[in-house]
Amino acid sequence: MPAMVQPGTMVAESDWASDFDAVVRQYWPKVFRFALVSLRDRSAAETVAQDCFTRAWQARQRFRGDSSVSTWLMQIAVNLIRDQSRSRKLQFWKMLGTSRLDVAAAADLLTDGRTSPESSTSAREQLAAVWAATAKLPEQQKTVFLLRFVEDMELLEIAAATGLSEGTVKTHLFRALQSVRKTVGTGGGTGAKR
Amino acid sequence: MKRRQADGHLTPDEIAALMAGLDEQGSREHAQGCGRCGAELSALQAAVLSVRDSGRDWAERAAVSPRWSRVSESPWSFWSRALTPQRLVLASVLVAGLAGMEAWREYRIHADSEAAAAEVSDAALLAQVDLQISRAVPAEMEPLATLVSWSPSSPAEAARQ
Repeated sequence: MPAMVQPGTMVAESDWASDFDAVVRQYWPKVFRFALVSLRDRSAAETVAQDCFTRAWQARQRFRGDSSVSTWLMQIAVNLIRDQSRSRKLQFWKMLGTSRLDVAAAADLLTDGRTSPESSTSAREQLAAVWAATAKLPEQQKTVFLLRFVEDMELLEIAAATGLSEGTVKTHLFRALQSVRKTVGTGGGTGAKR
Repeated sequence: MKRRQADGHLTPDEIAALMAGLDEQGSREHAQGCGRCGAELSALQAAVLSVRDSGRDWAERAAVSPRWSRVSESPWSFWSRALTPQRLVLASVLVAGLAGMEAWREYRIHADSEAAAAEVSDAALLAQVDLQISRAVPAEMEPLATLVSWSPSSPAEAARQ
């Protein structure tokens, strides 16, 4: 049954229909998180998550188990986020908010007491810079980067979710890491918590 | 991609390629054995991990409860949503009202039939009273009346009769 499905496992269509609520409960956090870090807008992320599960429910008859439930849902989410990103309204708010407010908010999150005040400040600056670099990435690079490093998805899963080949995924990832790497100082750690 | 530097260390591109899964033969081994390249790789990994941690933390703080709606629902889920406590109370009041109206109607029918029966009984009693009143002597005394003959005792009385 979907309620007992672990990420990455297949679910029969009949199970989907019988207990879709369990699927929503299990995968909502993942879809919402990916939408949030991609769009950096809580309301838009919630809308994407809602639309994602509504579309999944509507399209459940077409789910053949070729990929995992997680990958299938992320594929829907990727498409919805791309549509959202293309909307002119969201573009406007992104331009207005990404470079200052959201990056600052993200940087504030790294204050868990495990670092000294000095290194914490350094880490926050570092983190803000990395988030800013991520925000400036082209859409596909950003999507691949976030799926790989925030959602911990494998390259083949990312390829399935984005409709790209594994080689193209690696290339996007490489380009994204090149951009992110420029924000990281050479010869030392970031001061991050790991 | 820029190739290995003149001093033998990995280039930034090679570091990024390692992280992206595009590592070439020997790059990973070099990074594992070289302190400087290993540190650069660790710095990039740490930066990426900090993005992951902060992104997850951010999502947890901004978490919202799942809210979505199906286009079609099972009958049970429909009724479980439709039968709210307020609606149940309203339905109970309506059922009680209808039952009360029915009881009142039954009572009225019963009362009407009783009234009709009483009317018939009253009419019979009145008829009996009228019959008794219309007699010259009460029915119990009629045998005695036949034993008595009445004759006028005076011309005035005869004239009255």
